[in-house]
Amino acid sequence: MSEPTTGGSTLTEGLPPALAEIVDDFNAVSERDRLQLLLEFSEGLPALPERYAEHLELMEPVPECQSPVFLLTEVDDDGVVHLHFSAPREAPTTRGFAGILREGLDGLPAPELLATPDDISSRLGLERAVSPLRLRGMAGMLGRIKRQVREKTAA
Amino acid sequence: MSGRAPALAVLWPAERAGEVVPGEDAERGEPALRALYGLPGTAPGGRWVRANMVSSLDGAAWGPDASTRSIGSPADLRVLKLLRAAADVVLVGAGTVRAEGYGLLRAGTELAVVSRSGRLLGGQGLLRAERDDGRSALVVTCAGAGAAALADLRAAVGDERVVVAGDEQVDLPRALGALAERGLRQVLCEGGPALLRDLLGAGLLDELCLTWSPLLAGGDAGRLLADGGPLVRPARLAHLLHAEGTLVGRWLLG
Repeated sequence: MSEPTTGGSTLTEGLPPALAEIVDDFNAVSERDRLQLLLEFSEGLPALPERYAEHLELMEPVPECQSPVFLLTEVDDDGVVHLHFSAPREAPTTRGFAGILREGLDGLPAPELLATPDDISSRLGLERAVSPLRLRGMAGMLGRIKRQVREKTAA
Repeated sequence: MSGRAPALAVLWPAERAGEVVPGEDAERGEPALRALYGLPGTAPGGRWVRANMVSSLDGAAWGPDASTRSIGSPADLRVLKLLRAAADVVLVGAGTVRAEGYGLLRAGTELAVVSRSGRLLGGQGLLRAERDDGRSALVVTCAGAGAAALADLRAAVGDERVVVAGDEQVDLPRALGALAERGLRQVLCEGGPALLRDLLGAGLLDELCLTWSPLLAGGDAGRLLADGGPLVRPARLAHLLHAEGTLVGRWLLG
């Protein structure tokens, strides 16, 4: 089922362009380098804007991540989604997943974001290096992002 | 054991190399050490699981006396005390409780003993009946322990002190969930190797604090992780400290 394939169109099928590029990048390198790449996404996660930094209670916790992760989506007047994450530096894997979602999904129109396949966490080639629980944490983040966007775009 | 607290020099991260966590003056030293081991706050439903282990240079998890006493050091003890104080609960396997002679911890930190069989650990002051203050350890077990053992256990530590998670084996995700519901979210695992392997295998371990003592132990001592098939998990070094030849590291697994 999760046979490693490289540059496969099936891996990027249905993904928005930025996320497809990230998936390609992960699958183009060795398992060891994938972990390094994940760390880079962890380090690249932008800080929360001030209006949320001191107000985590405004954000949604993601218990699936088991470490303290919070997220919030905003849909602007043009229907474009903006994503905000708080994930501890002490949990670089989980924080890396947040970084991937932020870079891959931020700035998308809501309908495109909602069309993102749910199995993104299994397309990064990390099944052997990262425990299933952590991968489920990433799926949990995506599920909550979509639910928030659905709620915020419901007329 | 003496309360002597040796100074710890920061070797890594490189930009902090040369900083020293003062020794004798624990009042000044502890905040600096606490900051090095700082935890992210826990989210609702969230938790943090850290393991603290000691090893000889050749990878023995205990010494010829079958306990870590013979391979520990004052630096190791200093960090162990700090990590215990920072934890809500210390999670430890029943075999390790016996080998190390665990007693209850200071008020504020619970001791939770993981035992598949639910066999009682009498004579160590872990049971309610053994104590004047009515405290007891928490016991984490599974239905497979059997009705009789569970009844004995409940009588010994109190109904509310027994966590039954899983059928034939202890279901660690559920057990940690049950501890979190009691407000015990900052978990410190002190082994043994089977419990540590199970936590790691289940993806529950967030970090490993590991002390390398400057000695070789030989013998047939176990490793930090019991055998449970191939398992590779990357770990990222958060810091490495040094005191009197002992290396004290913190690695992030989450």
